[in-house]
Amino acid sequence: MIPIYITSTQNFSGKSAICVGLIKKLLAKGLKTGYIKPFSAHAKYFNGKLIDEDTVFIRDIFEMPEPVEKLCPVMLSDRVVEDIVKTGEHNYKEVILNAFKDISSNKDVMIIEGASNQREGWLLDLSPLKIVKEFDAKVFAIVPFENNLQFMDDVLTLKGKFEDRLVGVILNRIPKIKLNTVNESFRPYIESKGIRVLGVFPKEVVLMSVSVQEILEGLGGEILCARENINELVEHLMIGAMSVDSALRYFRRHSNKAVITGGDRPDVQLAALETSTKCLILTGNLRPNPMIVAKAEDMGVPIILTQYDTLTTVEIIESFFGKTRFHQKKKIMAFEEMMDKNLDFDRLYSVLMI
Amino acid sequence: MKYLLYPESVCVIGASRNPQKLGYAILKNVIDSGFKGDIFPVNPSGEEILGYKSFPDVKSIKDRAHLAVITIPSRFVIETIKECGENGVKAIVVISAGFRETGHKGLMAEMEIARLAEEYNMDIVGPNCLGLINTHTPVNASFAAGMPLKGNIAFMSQSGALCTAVLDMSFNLGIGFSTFVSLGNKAHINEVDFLSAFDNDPNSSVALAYLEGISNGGLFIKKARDISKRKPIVAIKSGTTDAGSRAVSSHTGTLAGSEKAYEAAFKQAGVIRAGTVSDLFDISWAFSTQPLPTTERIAIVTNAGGPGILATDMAERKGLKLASLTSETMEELAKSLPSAASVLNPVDVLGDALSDRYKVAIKLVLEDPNVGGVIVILTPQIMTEIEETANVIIELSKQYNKPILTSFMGDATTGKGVAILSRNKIPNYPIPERAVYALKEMVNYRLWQDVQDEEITEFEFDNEKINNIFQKALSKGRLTLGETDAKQIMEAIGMKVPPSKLCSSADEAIKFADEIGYPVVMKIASPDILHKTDVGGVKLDVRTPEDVRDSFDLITMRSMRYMPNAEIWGCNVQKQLPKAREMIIGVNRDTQFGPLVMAGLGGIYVEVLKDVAFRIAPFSRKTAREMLFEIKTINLIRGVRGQAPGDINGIIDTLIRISQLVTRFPNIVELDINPLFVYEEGKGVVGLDMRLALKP
Repeated sequence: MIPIYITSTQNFSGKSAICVGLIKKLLAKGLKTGYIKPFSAHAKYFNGKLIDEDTVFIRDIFEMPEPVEKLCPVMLSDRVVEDIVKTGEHNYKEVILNAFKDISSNKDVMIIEGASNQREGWLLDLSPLKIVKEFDAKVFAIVPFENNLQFMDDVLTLKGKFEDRLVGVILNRIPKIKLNTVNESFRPYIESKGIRVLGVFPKEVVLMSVSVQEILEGLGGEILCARENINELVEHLMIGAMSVDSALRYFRRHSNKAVITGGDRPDVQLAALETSTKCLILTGNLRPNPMIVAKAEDMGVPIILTQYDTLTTVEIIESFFGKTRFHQKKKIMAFEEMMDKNLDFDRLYSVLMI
Repeated sequence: MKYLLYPESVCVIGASRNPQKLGYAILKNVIDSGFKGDIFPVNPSGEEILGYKSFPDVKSIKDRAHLAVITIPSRFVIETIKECGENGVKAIVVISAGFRETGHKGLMAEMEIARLAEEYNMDIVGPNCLGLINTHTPVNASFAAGMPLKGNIAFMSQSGALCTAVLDMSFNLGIGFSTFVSLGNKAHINEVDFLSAFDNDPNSSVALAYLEGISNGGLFIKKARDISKRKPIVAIKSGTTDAGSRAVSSHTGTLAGSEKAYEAAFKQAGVIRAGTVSDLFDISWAFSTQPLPTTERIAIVTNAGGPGILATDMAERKGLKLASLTSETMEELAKSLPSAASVLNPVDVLGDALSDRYKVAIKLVLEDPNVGGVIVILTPQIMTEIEETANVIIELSKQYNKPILTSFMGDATTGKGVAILSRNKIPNYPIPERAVYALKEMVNYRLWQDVQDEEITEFEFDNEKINNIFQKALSKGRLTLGETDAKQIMEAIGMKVPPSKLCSSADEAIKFADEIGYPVVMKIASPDILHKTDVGGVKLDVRTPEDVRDSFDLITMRSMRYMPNAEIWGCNVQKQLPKAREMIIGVNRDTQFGPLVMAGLGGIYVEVLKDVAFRIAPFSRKTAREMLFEIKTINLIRGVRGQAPGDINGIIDTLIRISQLVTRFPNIVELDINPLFVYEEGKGVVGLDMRLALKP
């Protein structure tokens, strides 16, 4: 059995998506592939139970027989963290090792969804490196680009930490203008330091998008129409607070956008509907004219009504823009396409000796 | 639409015995209007209403009702329309409200109304309207309070309430109407259909419209342009300010459409635009009662020096020319008038003028071949013969086929004279400026009738190339085209462009600059940055390879810092051309009229002075030339102070090419060529930068 530890240097960098993509490929190769997420730092209450959304999602996609509690055995909620600090005692390491043992017993490959950043797990005395050693795993890391220095430092830090266990890295979210530089100078430099660059992924808007559902949940608003399109993805956020002529010109620049405007601006609402809009967000809890709701319903554009003012609405949505999960079909498909195009699977398999 | 305007039988569905109900008021209006055909009240109770036998449903009057007026709750309307269709009804007015104004279900119901209209070949007005009146049939199928005076003005309104207000005002003024229509939600029949109906109606000679929005702008221009050559169309458009436009959106659930587009569209369609309801009356009154001016110059006859000068000033300001009277006319005037009178135009017959002096003066100016129409001003002095003068004017207006508009100023003493004039179809305006305004519109209209349509020139385009560029951008989810793509589009439509290339690295930029030669211009290439100079994304006069490298780094760094989320492709390196005069050409696809093309001089002339002209594409060379010469600063291109003239024909060519491009490719929603370098006459124009936005 080959354990592969997937990690990254920042939160929301595409880890779960890589896990999904890899499991799919490995299964297609005829390899019995298992999955475990040793602990969740982003546990959420669902129906009174703490769960890890990514794990539930991955279990559903691959119809895994193991219960979610086994696939992600430890939920690091605030309460759990406080208890650990208070008592200084816990048996999480054992729980995780047992779960891993159970799941991996009949597998050829185990995908371990590891820490989102290199600071995670120290409280449990399960730093990324410790876990990797416990499972005797190979490390595959994703490094998203912010700027030249952060990027190079992050890559080299990984090598420093995992040494020869690091089988390779994916350089992710590279702005188009930097693609040449990354491919032509950074990549050879990184390789020269003994780090395999298995893929260079350009920055794609669709992968940074949020769904209408996520916006609705984030704002806690009311949806007025076109509920069937709640899973549509929003790539841009635009605010409509100008004259209608300017609004029209402005809105035409982007497709797949959400438009935030006041409930008292029927002209701007109509201008938004005139262009490619995935969702209308009306602030100030002012109900729109029924004729506009009718038009939106007809066009399949959901209208969300929120009590917040425009500024607060923007702040709330921006706080999770680009930091959401990969739970929409469109996003997964886009990411799989990107993997097929830009990830050197042959090299990955040969390093892993699969 | 003859069954709408001239039905031979009417059924009122929802007729009621209760005087509080709409169904009662409408039935009563039909009866009181003197309608000569059969009247069928429809009410399930089957009782007699207002002396007419009532029927339980439309089926029971099978094939006997031409026009149905529906005034029942909205939930029964669709079924009833179907029943009408199955039982030979030819036209329907749906008074009932409760449709798109209430939400999605209502909107769907309107779509069903339109479908049923097509299926059963019926004309359906409304829903949510006041109804329809024709004074010639006569029939009043509305709930308006009363029947207008019989006349030749056909009026349609997108506001039912304005209909009733206009109707109420018209009684006092003595203005008569042929047709009165409230358009309502326009589920089926709209303003364009009624324009055609008015055009074909022998009893209507002027079409009047109050519009909040137009359903099909392109068709409106086409139809109105044709019809306006035969009958004047006067329209008032509301929602022309930001606040007004919001009010239109909330009243009709549609965008009001841009003011600029309406202005251009009305100009191109020959529609006379009234700014206020008062203007609407002033203009239509003149058109409905007077013949058109025979020449574009007019005469003023006045008994008051001051008002005569005010009228002259107003005429001058509006561009209405005062005729130079022939020497014969002036000699005759001098012979007949006191020596203190002015025989020059404006003709001043002096304050003590009696009706005979007016008669001589008006007759002489009407006979003058240089005079196309006359404005008569009267102020009441103690000896002024107000009523006699009114009669003189009426008598003369019958003898001469030239328009006479009057301004009997005052009220208490001139009132009787004004009443005589109104009764005899001489439009009187309480102040002379309003008479001038109305006559000016008549002169404009007369000139418009002579305008010949010009064939639109077609240029050879590389359509396939343009299509491919658009498809490629759209397939990547991009709605805006950057300079590189836009440059190829300009080439594909036959425009001249400077050599340029998108370079994704400094090395590539240097290589290309070496190839085309220095100096070069470097500009940031990003689909997300539209205003490159704002982010410091443009560098002119780059003269060495080192300069190219520095500029590349500087421009990309600035842009990334200014817009961290922008996708940056690199820099466009372009050959720097010799200086020239600069124009801007822009297109914005209006939601109602389609491609609105703008032209102006570059830089401060557009940004500060807003000195621009607009037209709706497609248009001819003639229209392009008119548009260009509407720009106040165009003389800077034509050449001032000894400067050689710029290539006006080159600009016109470009305007036509752009007009053709945006007409042929309806997915272009915006386009800007900025700047367009204009060289000396014969040396052409070059598009330096273009930006395009597409509809997905």
